[in-house]
Amino acid sequence: MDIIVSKARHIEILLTDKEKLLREKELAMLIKQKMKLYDEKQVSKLKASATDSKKDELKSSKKPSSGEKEPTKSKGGKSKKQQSTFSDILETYVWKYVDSLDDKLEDVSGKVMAKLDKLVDRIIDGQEQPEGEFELGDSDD
Amino acid sequence: MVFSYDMEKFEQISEWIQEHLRIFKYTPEAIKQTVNVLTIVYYLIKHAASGFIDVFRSSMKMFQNYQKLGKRTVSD
Repeated sequence: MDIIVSKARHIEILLTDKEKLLREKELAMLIKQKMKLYDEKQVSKLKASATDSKKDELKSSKKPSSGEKEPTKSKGGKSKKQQSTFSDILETYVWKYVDSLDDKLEDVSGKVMAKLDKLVDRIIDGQEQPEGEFELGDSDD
Repeated sequence: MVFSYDMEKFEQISEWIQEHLRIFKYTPEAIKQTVNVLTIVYYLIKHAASGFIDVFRSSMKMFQNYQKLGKRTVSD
């Protein structure tokens, strides 16, 4: 029951306090921008790997073999997997984490962004998200 | 591509939300649904355009009423 009351209170604050609303919207926009940057990084990575594989193909064009296209395919698959991991993490951890902060958001927005950076770097490096890294209730500090 | 805000749709979404929040029942199922609807509202406020938020402002009294909810026992 408390959660309903606190959510309703926070919604009312956002609808009345324009400054608070702007700060929350700004943070949400920053997170979206980071997602976009991550997408762009992934696309440029894919393009680079496609160019590399094309060069390799040209070099070895005199020796045709059936398994030539496999490396490109697996890279694309890896990238897709990374992308879906990132989306899952965002959906499961980041938004819920940000939502759970409610009106404390303006004080900890720097921390949220730092954590988000860490997550993005980890996924780009190809590491799996360790359990409990972005748990709810990690907002005490 | 030309993008324009569709106020009619904003109002439709707002009506849907009001419909779900109008009556509060002290049952676990209803409480879960209310939390979900409030989470949707919070998400929309954070991500939607200011025109959308203006529509929500018109139903502010409803959110104020929810703050007055008493701590009654939840019936199963």
